[in-house]
Amino acid sequence: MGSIAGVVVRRALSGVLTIFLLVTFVFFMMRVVGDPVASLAPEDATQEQIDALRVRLGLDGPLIVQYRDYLLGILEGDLGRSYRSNRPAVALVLERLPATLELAAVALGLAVLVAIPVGVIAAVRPGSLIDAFSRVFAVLGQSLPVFWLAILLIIVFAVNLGWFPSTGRGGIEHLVLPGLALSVYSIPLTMRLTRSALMEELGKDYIRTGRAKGLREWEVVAKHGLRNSMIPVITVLALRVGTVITGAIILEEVFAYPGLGRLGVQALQTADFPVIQAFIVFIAAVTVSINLIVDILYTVVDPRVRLT
Amino acid sequence: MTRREGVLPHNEEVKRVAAAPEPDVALSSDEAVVPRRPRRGWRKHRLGILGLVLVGTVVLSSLIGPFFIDLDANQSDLANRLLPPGSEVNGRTALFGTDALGRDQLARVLIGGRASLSVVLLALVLGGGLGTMLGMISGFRGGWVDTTVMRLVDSFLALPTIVLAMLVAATLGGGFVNTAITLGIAGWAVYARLIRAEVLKIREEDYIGAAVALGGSDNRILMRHIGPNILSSLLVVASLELGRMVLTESSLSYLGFGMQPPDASWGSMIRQGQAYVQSAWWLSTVPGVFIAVMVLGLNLVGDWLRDILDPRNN
Repeated sequence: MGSIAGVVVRRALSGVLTIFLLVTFVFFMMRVVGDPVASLAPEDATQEQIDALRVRLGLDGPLIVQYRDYLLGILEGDLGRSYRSNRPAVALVLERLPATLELAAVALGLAVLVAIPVGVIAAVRPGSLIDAFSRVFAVLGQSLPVFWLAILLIIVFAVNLGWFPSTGRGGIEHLVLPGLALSVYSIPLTMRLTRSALMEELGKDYIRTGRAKGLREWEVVAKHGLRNSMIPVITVLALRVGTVITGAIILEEVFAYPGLGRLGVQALQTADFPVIQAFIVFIAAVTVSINLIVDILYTVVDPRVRLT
Repeated sequence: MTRREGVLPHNEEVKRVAAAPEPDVALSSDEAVVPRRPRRGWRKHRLGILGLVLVGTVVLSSLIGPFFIDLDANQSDLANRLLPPGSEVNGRTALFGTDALGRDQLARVLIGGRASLSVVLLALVLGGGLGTMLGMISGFRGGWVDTTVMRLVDSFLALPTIVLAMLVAATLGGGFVNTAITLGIAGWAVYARLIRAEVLKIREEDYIGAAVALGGSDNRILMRHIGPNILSSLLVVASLELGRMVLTESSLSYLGFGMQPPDASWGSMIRQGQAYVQSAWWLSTVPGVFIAVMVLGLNLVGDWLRDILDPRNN
């Protein structure tokens, strides 16, 4: 067990290092390449006004001091106050989080409901019509700009049919169109992975044993094959959390849905540095933690990983 | 046994596919081992050719189309606002209609294509060049250089491309060159990681050892011996990345961070059209079709290149 603890510590340290580098990049990108004061001040501001603004925002000290305060702030969970609303940036991010999680949950639910059954049928009947359909759908799903697809959904289901609202957050009906669009990010991969993993599993000896002892075919597929083939599918889905974040950011903008992504986009558009910072640290932390958890679980489950 | 008969055909199918990499599994069955016949002739290239045709159509129409239309894409004509596709405007047919300022949608989508495609191409050169260079050095040198570069790669990959791109774009500002730089910075890490892995493999080959023994300089070994051997991987990843980059660029412009008005780009046209979904559906729809056809074509070409260039597939 000692070696597992060693691996966990090493991976965790490298995760922290990754976030540190990223945070440093964000800092220097925003404050050295760009100047938040210049983008915040009105165009006709005098030099005195600009200087006053600089002092008020705490951007007047030497860069290295600002950098130190910034890092210390992150450690304390204090990322400053929004330049616009003067509320703590961390609170703003946490406030918007439930909306985005709701959207992601709906999308993931839809993806699982559609992709896994279709993937199973495609694996059990390779070459069938459903298999061909899933292949075409997978290629298309990866090629279409999803924000455009979302606008088509709005045109058809909100404007012409009037079934669902096209913007905002509220009841379950507000989640249908964005959730549907967001699920397009996960469905193609989930479907193809389910198919290939299940096909590989169905070729194994224990499946033949199951059939030989007279199990019904659905039992062989569902209870034995599918369960064992879900591990790679779940792993890859967890590791691709970034694509769901990407999707949520753009789709929240399309549907004017008040989630994390819209907060980030607006902060970037208005150079609201503390909020941008909180938004990016949060996303990086989520991505790195998920990678870390998957890594550690693999180390615990499969001792061979420890050697590498 | 009657129950089993129903499943037998697909059962064989599964066995055949699953057995392809491991012949000994197939040998245990009482069926004769029929190795999968290599796909011959043009069937193997069918999808790749389709991809080339799609890409070629979009690229050529964007490149030479504007010369034939002979309309200023930024010329507004308020008397002919929001006309549906096929309307008559000043004695000519507006194939894709007109936008909120009466500008010809076909002219704009072609000009926008020029902008989107050239910015992505420049970004590919920048990002691919930087990533390839760092990946080669990282893989070849090893040691602390390798550790540093790979840490950087990890950090860049920890953020979704679009977030990274928005961050850089918000700092640099919009416009053609800045958007290309933005996409390059957002995209280099993928190349660096892949090229490093390739170089690590190639470095162990005997001919590299021979070149070192003959006293070849590092530069010469990188350029003459390693360089040509990573070209095929680079080509595959570049064609697939190009598709992703077109999507990222359009998302970026859609969010307002990319190319700036009045110049058209596919993403910003979709953004502007969204305000009129109630009355003029074609404004957002048309540019999206161009993006989709382009990306689909690039993905097909990328998959095809991977199939024919990767020796493991033969």
